[in-house]
Amino acid sequence: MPFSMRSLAAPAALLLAVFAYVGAQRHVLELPRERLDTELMVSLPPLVQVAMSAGDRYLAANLATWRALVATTGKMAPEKAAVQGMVQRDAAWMNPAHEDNFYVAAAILPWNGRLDDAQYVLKRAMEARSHDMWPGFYYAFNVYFFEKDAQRAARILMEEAGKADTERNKLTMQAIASRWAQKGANTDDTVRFLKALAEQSNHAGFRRYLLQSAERVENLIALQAAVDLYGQRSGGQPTDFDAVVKAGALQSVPADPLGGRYEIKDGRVVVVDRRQGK
Amino acid sequence: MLNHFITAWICGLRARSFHAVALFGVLLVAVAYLSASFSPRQPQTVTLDVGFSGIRFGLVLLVMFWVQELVVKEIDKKTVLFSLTYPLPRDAYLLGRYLAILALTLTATLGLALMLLTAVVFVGKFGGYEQAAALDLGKAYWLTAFGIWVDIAVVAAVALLLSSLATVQILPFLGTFAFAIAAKSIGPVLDFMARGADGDASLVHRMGPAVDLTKWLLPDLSRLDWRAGAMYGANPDSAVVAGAVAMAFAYVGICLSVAVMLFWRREFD
Repeated sequence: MPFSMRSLAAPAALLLAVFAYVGAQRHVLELPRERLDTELMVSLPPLVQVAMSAGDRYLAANLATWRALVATTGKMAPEKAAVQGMVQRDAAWMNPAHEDNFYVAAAILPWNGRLDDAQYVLKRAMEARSHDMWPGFYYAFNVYFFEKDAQRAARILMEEAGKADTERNKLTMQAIASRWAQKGANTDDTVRFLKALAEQSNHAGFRRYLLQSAERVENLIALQAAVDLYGQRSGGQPTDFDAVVKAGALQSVPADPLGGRYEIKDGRVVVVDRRQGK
Repeated sequence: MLNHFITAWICGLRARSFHAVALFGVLLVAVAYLSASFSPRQPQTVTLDVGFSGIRFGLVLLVMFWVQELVVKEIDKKTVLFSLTYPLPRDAYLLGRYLAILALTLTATLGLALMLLTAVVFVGKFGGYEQAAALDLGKAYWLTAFGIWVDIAVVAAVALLLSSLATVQILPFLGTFAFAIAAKSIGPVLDFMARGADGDASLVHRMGPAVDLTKWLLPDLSRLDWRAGAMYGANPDSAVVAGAVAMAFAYVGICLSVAVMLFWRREFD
């Protein structure tokens, strides 16, 4: 076969292309990646959400709930919490009986300053789910813990106990209601509440988030007790935890499981989120 | 009419449509199955919910495809003239095709519903999470499937009406799609307006008259969506079901009679 330059052209082009590809790919792989912000930036009007789901309000409710669930497995800034509240409200309007929606709302919204949104979602679920005690239980818990109205919470819980699936659950709810009515607010209930929410979850990331929230509340309770003890012993208010540790009221300051930092402000222990910087 | 029914039924089967149904069904089951992992508390319900949404949407696409294959293309290629040379009235052609499309959609609905049922049972058995609220996969499930089929019967009638008057091939296609979305959305729109449009009084004032008119022009197909029964045990009253079915078939009646009238007058040269 006669040698021709033409027959070499294709292999040469291939070789050149492979070199170019390997070089360029090596460069591209090392480029820094922008971190995806999974939190919510906007909430669309509910009718737009329905139209984008081909007119299917159930599908729109599912999509909104997934957005809320994906966004909430991380830390949340206040403006994102507001959007989350709106997204979950919309989902509750589109499908009030959606179990994940009211569950995520109960676990996230009130803890991020969106109590009204949480109660709206839970109220809609209570009306739509006639055989489910959980929306009523969460609603009552929020009244008890966030609104600090133990008597009203106990009344709601007594009414909702009728929806319990078993006699045992019914009696448990009634017992909790009577304890609230008699003794008022108790912070240990919060930890138990968050742990119970985590136990019911089938979603690993969400369960981890709830357990971390429970741990944060436990830390806050322990640190507040140490600060109070310091106050009783020395008669003054500490400004930082070093003083509390030196005084022997606390062994060490635990790390916040959600990446924040504990501080003392006017005698109260608060969490400072690193990203919020306040 | 029976002649046209049988011809269209065979054409529908030959048009590789059942391959499309089978492929769509497999995709639907996969998506519905995977969507269960997004649910912290009710994976089976989410599978069922997403599956019903998929069937409702997928059947619209299938009906658009069948009407295109069985009617629009025939008119466009003038092969409809051979069909009309039978010693039968023209309405037999149109109604025969409609009934064949209904039979095809019924078969597709049943097939897809069975596939979805398999996926839901599978998630329940092998998903590794037992949800507290049980589903109703018996009567309520099949009632939902029936509702979806009635919904699609309305969409098919509108598609046929549009193809009987359209002179451009794409019009029935786009028109049917737009109708399906609008008619499925009208229920949520009415609900939104009735609840005061999130406190936006000017929106209610501005859009109120248009919505009042539209609710007579478009049937409220969301009334045929009874999945809350299978998902949450909230079964619709029989009066609700009967009313919605009567509304749907009355609308089908309107569409088909107008389509027949238009088809009678149509000149195909």
